[in-house]
Amino acid sequence: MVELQSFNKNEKPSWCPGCGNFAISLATKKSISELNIKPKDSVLVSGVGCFAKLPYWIKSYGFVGLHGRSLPVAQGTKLANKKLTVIAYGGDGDGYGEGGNHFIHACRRNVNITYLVHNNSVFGLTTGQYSPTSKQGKVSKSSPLGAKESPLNPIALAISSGAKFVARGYAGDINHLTGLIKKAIQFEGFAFIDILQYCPSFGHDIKYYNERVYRLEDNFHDSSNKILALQKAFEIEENKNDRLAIGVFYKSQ
Amino acid sequence: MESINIRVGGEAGQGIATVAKIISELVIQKGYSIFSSKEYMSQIKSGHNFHNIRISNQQVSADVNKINILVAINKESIIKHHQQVNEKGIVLYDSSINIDDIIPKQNVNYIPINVKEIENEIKGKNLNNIIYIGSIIKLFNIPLSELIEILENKFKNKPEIKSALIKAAELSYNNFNVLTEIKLPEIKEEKQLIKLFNGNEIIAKAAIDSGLTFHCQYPMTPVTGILHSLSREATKNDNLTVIQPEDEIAAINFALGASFAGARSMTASSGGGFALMTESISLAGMAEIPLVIIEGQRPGPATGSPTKTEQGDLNFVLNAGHGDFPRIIIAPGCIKEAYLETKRAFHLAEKYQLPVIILIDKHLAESIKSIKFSEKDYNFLKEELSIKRGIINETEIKQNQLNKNNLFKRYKFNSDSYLRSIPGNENGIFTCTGDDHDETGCITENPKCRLEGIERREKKLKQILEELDKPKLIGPENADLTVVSWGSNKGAILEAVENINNKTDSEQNKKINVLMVKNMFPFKIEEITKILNSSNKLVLIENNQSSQLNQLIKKETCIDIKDKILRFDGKTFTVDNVYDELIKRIN
Ligand SMILES: Cc1ncc(C[n+]2csc(CCOP(=O)(O)OP(=O)(O)O)c2C)c(N)n1
Ligand SMILES: [Mg+2]
Repeated sequence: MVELQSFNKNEKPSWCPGCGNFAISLATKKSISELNIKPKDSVLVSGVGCFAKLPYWIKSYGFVGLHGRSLPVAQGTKLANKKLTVIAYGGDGDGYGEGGNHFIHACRRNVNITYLVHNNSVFGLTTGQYSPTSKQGKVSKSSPLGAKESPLNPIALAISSGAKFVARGYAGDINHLTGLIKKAIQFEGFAFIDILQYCPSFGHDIKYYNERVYRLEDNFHDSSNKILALQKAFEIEENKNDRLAIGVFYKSQ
Repeated sequence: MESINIRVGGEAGQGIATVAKIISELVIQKGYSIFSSKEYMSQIKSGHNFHNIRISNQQVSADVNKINILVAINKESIIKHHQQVNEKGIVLYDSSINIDDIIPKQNVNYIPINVKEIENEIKGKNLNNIIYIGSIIKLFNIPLSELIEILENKFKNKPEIKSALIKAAELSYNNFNVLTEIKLPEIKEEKQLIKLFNGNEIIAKAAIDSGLTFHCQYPMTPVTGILHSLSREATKNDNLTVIQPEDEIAAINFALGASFAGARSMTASSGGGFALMTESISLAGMAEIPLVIIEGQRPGPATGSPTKTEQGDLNFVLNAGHGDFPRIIIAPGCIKEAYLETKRAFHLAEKYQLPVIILIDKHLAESIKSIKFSEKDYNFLKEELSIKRGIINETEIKQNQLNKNNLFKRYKFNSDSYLRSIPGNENGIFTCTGDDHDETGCITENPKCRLEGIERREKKLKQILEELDKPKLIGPENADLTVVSWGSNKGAILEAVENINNKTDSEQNKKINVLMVKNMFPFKIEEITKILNSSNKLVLIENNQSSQLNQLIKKETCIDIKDKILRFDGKTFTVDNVYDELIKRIN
């Protein structure tokens, strides 16, 4: 048994009080320890953004590289040593903007790593600009008249790029998220989870998400069906009630 | 130097490379040396291409202007090159080409080869390559059986193609009427085991001999050959992983991730792709990750002339990446140096944990040379490369290398040696990072850590400088003129200088020596200053427009070489180019 405590470090995280990153960090530790993976055998790879500091505050091997580049580093690490459990982290700016190309090709390449994107729909670290997943019309310092672009759909993009494990998690539901991360780690291949993350400083608060999030599992979603999965992925664009499904959208058998 | 130069010209896709390849193999078996360069256009079919194959009984490393045998597969090849054919030289051309409107060069034999007739006789197609080869070896008085033996081996598994080729070779050999024989120079040395390599192949080989386990590269001329060689190698080598990623940013980050995990890793590109890697090179410097990068120059800016050669990226490579961090840049001058220096690159990358760039160019990457390796070459740095990897295993880690939280001080301050642990190692946990960090790699904004980190990294340069070999003058110690150059110009310069120095009739018996600068960074300031200051007269030779080596020398030594021979039309220097320029300067 690997204790959760064995992943604790002395350094205190510098995230804002109430940041969703605390929950994602805890879910990571819970998942790895519950799967009996030791700190020495896990590698957490990130880029640049608020989210990217996560490896600093978990006791395991870490690689904090460049903005948008966690996926190539993580795949290189895994290919060099297949015994390691490699988790790559991205931000919605970092992973969907700067590193968007790597995302598409990681989906195709299907190297056995887990990819978690902290999606707070905002550039946190650079103090609140609109991001690739911000809604059209989002007013921010860099979009005073509202963002003109329509938001990117990470789930649909991943499925159509060939990813074989595609899920959405929520930082406000740690147990559910832990379950998803465990499934992703256990999946033999590239496993992607877009994680809805509240951002008390620049983004939506926890209440916003709590009102909208629902679990796919409770709705008899068939995650083996790619077309249904894609339909579900587009719900976010069509659904007037703005409901946000969490759970496994697609998992190839 | 006695040599015979064959030029084979034609359209891309007409198989001129095959002619060059088989002729080269034939003659090196007999103990000859060859140097073979190619010029081609950036298109797959049509477009004028040619190969040179220079054959000698001594080591050859450069191109010359004169042509002894021109094989013209199309009319354009006659028009473009026949003026360069020397007296008593031969032009072999397809008899279907109408040459009535070409004014023949005096004292050159134009010999039509009836390719169609032979093809028809054996009901074969696309046999022109072998037909020309058959004629050439008859010219050289090489027995047909030697060609057949090569074909037997090469096409062992393709019996139909093989038999057509052999028949065509026989017919062309027997039909060919030798009027003027062309004599290959006599072989002086005994037959030796000689192999053909171009720069890309030798770098791939050096990397494998250095224990390469991970290579990630996006294709780009002129170094795509490295990707091809290593991809082939990976099919039979379980320890080697080769990835063609989505772009060069991915390429270098894959390589960094693999290196962090303990792989010996490499990437390669040309200027444009290398430009995309620069942010990550800075990361390798900060995070202290061993990495070998091959930069094969071609004429820029932007896409430039993709298939031509130039030395225009030196300034860029010296300065690529933001912030201050140590790097090593080595510019080998020939195939053998490319082998040795690539091995050195792997050794230094791991010992000092930083990016090492091997700077070559198209002329070195894609020209083929026959080369003899000694045991000594093969064993160069063998022991270092097998042991001294800086990786520490868990039992070696002592308590004083851990912090209060039992994290490994991967970035130990005030340290002369650079030890790293790799994931999987129980006591070696740390964070590999591009942020300013404490000794365990944890992010910090404490200025003391920043200063200690900078000191730790910059100190490497002094240690490296001592380890690099001393720059040496080639040729007589005291000379009237010293040539200063770098990279692939070496072959042409050395041969031209030797020709001049050996000239007994040169009136005042003037001598020239040569300084090839190989270690671009860190730079051997003291030694180079001394050499330059003690020379009588300096001349610089570079394959670029702005004399980038001179800029470097000026910056490091305050010496400005005013007399410059620069070429930047996309071509390399031939022996004759250099000879003519140097002779002017000593007479
Ligand atoms: C190449 C590069 N471009 C820009 C930046 C500046 N930058 C740092 S973080 C960031 C955006 C972060 O947003 P996101 O990825 O969503 O992460 P978050 O802070 O929201 O967790 C930007 C633009 C950088 N560090 N590097
Ligand atoms: Mg964000």
